[in-house]
Amino acid sequence: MVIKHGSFGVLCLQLAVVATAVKLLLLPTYRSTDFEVHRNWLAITHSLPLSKWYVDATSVWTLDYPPLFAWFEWALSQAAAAVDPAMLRVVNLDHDSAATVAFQRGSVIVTDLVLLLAAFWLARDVAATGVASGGGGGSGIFSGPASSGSRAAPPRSTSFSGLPVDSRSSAAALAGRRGVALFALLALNAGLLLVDHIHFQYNGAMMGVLLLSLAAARTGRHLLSGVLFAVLLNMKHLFLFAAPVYFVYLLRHYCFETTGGSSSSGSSGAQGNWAARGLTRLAVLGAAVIAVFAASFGPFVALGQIPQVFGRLFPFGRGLLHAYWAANAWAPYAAADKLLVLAAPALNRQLGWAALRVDAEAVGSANLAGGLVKVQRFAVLPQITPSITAAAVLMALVPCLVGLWRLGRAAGHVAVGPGAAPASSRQHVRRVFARALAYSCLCGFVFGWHVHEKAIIVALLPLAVDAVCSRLAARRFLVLSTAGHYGLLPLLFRPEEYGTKVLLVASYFAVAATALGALHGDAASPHARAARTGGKRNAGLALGWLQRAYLVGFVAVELYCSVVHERVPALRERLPFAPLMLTSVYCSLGVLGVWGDIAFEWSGEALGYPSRSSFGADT
Amino acid sequence: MMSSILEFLGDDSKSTGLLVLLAVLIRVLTGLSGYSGAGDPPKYGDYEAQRHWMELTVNLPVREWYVDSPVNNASYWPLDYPPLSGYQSWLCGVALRAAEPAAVALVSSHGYESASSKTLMRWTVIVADLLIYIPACLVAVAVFYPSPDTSAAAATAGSASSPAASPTKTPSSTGTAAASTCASPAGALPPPFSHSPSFSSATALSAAARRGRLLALFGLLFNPALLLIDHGHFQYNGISLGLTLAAVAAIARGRRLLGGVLYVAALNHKHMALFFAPAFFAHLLGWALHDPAHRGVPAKLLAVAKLGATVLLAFAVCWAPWLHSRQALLQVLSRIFPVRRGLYEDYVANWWCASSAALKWKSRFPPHLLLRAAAATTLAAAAPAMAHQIAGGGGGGGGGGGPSRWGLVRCLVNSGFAFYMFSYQVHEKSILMPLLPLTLAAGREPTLAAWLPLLACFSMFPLLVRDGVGLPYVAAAAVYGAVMAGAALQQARQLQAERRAAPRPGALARVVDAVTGLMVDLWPLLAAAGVAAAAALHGARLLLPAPPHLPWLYDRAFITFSFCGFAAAFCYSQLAQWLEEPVGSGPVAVAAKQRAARRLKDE
Repeated sequence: MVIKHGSFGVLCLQLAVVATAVKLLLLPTYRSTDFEVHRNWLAITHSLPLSKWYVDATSVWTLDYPPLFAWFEWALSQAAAAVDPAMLRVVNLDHDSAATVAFQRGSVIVTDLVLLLAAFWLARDVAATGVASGGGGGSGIFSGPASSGSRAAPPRSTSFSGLPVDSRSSAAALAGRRGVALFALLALNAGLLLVDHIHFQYNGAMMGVLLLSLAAARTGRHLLSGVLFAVLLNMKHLFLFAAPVYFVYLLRHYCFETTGGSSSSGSSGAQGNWAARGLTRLAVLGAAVIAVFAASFGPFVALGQIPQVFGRLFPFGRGLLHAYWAANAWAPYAAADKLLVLAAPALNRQLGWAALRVDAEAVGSANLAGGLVKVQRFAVLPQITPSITAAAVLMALVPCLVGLWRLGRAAGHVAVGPGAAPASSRQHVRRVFARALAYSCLCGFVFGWHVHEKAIIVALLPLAVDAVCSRLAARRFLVLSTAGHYGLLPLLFRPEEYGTKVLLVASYFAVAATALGALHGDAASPHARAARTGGKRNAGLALGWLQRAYLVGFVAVELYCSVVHERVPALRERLPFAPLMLTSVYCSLGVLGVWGDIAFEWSGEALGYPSRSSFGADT
Repeated sequence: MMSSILEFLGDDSKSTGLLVLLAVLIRVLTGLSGYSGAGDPPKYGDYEAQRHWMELTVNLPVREWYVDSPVNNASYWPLDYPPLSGYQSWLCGVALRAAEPAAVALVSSHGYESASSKTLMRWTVIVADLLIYIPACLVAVAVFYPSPDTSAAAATAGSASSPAASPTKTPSSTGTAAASTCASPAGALPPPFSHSPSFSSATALSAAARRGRLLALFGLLFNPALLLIDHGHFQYNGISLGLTLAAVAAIARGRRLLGGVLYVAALNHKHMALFFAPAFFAHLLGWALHDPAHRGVPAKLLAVAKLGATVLLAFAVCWAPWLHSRQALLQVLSRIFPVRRGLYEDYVANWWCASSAALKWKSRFPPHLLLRAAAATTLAAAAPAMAHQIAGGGGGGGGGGGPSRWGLVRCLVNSGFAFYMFSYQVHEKSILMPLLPLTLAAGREPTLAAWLPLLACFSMFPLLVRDGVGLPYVAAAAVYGAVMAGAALQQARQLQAERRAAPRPGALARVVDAVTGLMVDLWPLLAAAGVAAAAALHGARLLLPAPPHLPWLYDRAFITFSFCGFAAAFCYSQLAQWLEEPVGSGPVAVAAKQRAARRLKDE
């Protein structure tokens, strides 16, 4: 079952056809107000001059994405004019003729080609990496001393003797399957299907740009990677959370690269060359990035509209939490606040003094009666301000940034994994970048201000790259994707889409669990070899009991939200907010767990203590 | 080398479960689209017919279901399917009434369309699939594509009286196993997406056998024609087809009485299952005549009598509410077989409709003459396949007699095609009948099972696009083609290699083998040409309006194109039944297959 080069493309093409077919089938489903948002932006960019783009307020859905996205809408509007010119008139609010719906839905499907292309590039790189590093296992993200492997570390002496005879070909086959599985995980992502192809947005195209940038970095095209990220940042500023990681990575591992090259350390002449090369690269990269920003914001600088544009882009007046709480750190915080409000009278009575001071005005503003718990202010707990969230994100990022910086230094003595052919340290660093990118996006989701539940997808897709190569990451991916996707379900509230959304998420889980389980349980995978030499049963993903219990728990949550809560009038009347709160908080547990797990790992990396996972055999 | 994402699946229960989950998903997704007659008063379409039957059956006593009355008007979707459809409508109606009473209120619910009732109606079809069609698919695939250990179990379980269950086909399956290990050294690798059989190759199927099983399972579960008709257009064909499939599986396992009952149930859900009657009749008659357990005429007669009595009893149970008087029975029958309808409806890719371009059958001949002509040609077209079964075709291996189970499957294909091509009052959807046994045989006729369902969709396109199922048409066909084509070609090449290693005797067999071998070699080219031609027709229909004096031009072009494909498939299928399951030379054929396996092994 070796996947040959030609057939790898065929397999990805088949998956791409299946993904596109699913998207076509979703065309008649529910559309959120985002459909009208994007219709309005098509109209604004098509029929108004540049100077009015960020000023026009005919519709309440004003343009609040950065300029390059506006240009993206402008490009789409050129084609839209041929389909239904009526959708391009700003005053035609809520215009949704059949042609308009077909065009807008179709435009999401077509621009998703960027995602498919990026997924193919990444998947091919993953498939090729395994072959290049030969004897298997070398394709692990973190390869290092085996001693600290938690469950599957083989004795070092048997690491090579334990290889099957045809290890090279089966390792190549495994790498090919990793590539195909990665393509499937990226191209068929249930979150993107729900958000883009039902709810209506263009995340697929933008995630495609991010993955293109990641693939460029993995294959050593750093300048391209940087430019693509700059473009992305100018399409959707949500990706700002990834900027620090990009900055450190490109500065340390591109401009002032020390890894891989044999001449990098040594004489002072080489040192001088290194510095000169670094400064040149920095200058070129900086110029390219600045050029992108200039192209994007330059016209608005010229128009003197920058304050207006930035006011649109960063509406801090919106509040910490979205109407429906995203499954991040603030969801349990807000839930605790709510519960304390309910508990405060009894508690104060019990204690005999006003231990808990309840802000009556905040209680009034928090609409507890409706299904949505809209929070403007916390009633008991300290208020969270935008600067607190920014500080939290930055602090969470520090270990990752430091670890990423130090990777280069540690790179001299990595790559002596169990049975791993030494991957060059340069390759090693480039592969770790996916994990750093996933972590930084996750930090933004967990601690960011006014985060949407959809933003979890940004962290999920880079993590998939990691998941097909490392069993530990695969377990994290499974938990994070399930929690993240489940957290998206309340977006699609119509009963008609109930079966569709639940089955999409369940199917993605089943495909991911089966595919990742098979990859990491494969006879050629490092674990299977370790299990064989250790006389243990090959356990596939080897999910821990807590992870299993957490995943099974979703069935219980779903049963409560869609069956029990509806059937019991007392619950429905007294706790109308319970289903949404339960969903947010339960999903946030998984998200926070995965975040903590990766944060712990990066902390070890930053402090120079390789943690169990990062340098273990658990690749 | 992997040719399809299908090959990522193993033959373990996890992979099968995943496939079933995805099959449910694609059903739900197909159901998001429009349905027959949506928002189209006054008569709406098949969706309204099914809803109306629910309305009738939950509100009227069983004896009045088929009786004309002011609330049960013969001009407004009268219940014209046999009793099991009535019972099923009643069950669905009860469920619908519990959730949305207005949807099945007597008379006032005519044309009732709401988003929630549509979802509910869609789910009744999916639940019916989950209860009947999908389990039947799993059982049939398990029976026809056994893994080595289960086939051994079947051999020990099957007594001498059930030769079909005895390992008649084991030699051929070892042949495929041997061939596959020779053809690809990677064939011995564990199935990628299943880890249970990873280290025990004894329980794992060979790559080719596994692929054959997956092709059949995928073909049955994702057949785009069935998906679009049941979950798009809106019908419950899955019930009747599932019962037929279960009957085939039961008969193949030697449980012929059970098979008979299941087939009667299928027939009593939708009388279109009559398409299969010649095959079941001929196969069971062939068994009664040739099984070695039936020594002498009395034993043969007894076997036939037992089957006959069981079938009659099953009929009686289904028809019990109307057996109290002759008049009641005739009333039901006249509803079910309305001869007043024509030779065919709309545009059907069968003989009568396709040839009507040259000869206007409907206007040149009176209906009663056409009825007779249709009956005669149908019988004549089905006769060779029936004769093959009655003569005990394919049997004789392992000391047993009677026609083989694969012979039955091939006979079902031919009988289904014969009815589709020539019988009276055929509509587009009838092509689902031959497709059922054909997709079951996907492991043995992989390329046919890959393109015929797609051509069937193509032939129904005028109907589908009228129903607003155009998008699911594209999507379901694309999924089927993308997943099926590569694996089918791989399988066909494997079978071809086996065949070339052991040429069959006879000039006809050599000619057929040469032609099919050439077709397999040219498959990518042929497939590309076929897809391009279909795409060109679609494009022309979309972009160029038909000339005003030829408004039916495109419909005519679609069905003529489809008819050519169906006719070719039918002719090949007729020949293949005799060649693949030879009559009377059972042991010879088995020996030839064993020789082939040995030769491949030696190479």
